[in-house]
Amino acid sequence: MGKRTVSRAENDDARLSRTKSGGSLASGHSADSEESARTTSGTGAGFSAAAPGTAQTTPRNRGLGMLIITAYGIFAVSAFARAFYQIMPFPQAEKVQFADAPLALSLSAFAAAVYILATLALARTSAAAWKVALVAVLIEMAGVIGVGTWTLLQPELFEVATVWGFFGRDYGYIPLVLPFIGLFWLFRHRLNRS
Amino acid sequence: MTLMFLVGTVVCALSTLICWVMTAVRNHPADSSIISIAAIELYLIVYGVYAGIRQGMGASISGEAWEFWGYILTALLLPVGVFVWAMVDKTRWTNLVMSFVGLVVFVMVYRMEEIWWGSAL
Repeated sequence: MGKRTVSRAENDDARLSRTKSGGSLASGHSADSEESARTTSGTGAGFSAAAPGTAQTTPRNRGLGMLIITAYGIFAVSAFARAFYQIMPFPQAEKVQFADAPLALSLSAFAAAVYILATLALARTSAAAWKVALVAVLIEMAGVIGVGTWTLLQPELFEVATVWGFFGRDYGYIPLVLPFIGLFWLFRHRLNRS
Repeated sequence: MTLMFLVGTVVCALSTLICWVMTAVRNHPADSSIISIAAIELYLIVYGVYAGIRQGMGASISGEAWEFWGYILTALLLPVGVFVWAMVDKTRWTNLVMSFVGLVVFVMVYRMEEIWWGSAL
């Protein structure tokens, strides 16, 4: 079992690199894949010769990049939902309206906009998208550190929680980690390398 | 803690675990990963129908009804959206992408329970 898993991993790398050279792979793995993974595992060693170049040839928005884009997408949706809930003037007794806390609510909306921009830019492969993604991720990093520090120094200004408040405490501090992962990913997939 | 929350926690935890294991042992989207996020979708539908019947019969919830339904609608879209996105590139990582559904839906159900009963635990 252990051996089979290892050769599958090699096979996976080879398959990845083949996928990249052929553009995006629309279909073909789902129905027969369990079977083919088993039958091709014997030839895994042969494919692994192609594996070393994989890191460079995997597009930015595939492989592990899919995961990073998913994380950004989830934050784009949840930050947007939170900003929408906070800013829309729904009539209810306990809800803080925009006029009462314009700073915290504006920062929530700004965070949502940055996440949406970063998600879209990370998901595209053009040179322009790389630059937009870099700017968005840097703004996000400055935002989460800046707003996080601000909420620590002047908590009285932030009686209503904002997305980046206390370095993203409400979201398990993931907003603090995410820009560093995004930046790492962007620099691993620099423009001039592709 | 309600029974529905307990069931939801188990379904989400199992799904995330299955997706993680499948990331390690499969280099393609595993059937079990897909079925596990389908199970989460099914759970959310049951949760929504239960909440709908209960609130339709006049039971009140501790928080805002429209916020609760906003959460349910977003949660219902999540497994579908992540599935579509995960299938763009069918590799080992598809399973890992799908493991996000269990984590995020658990947090959302936790929030829905807070809105519904005032406290999830």
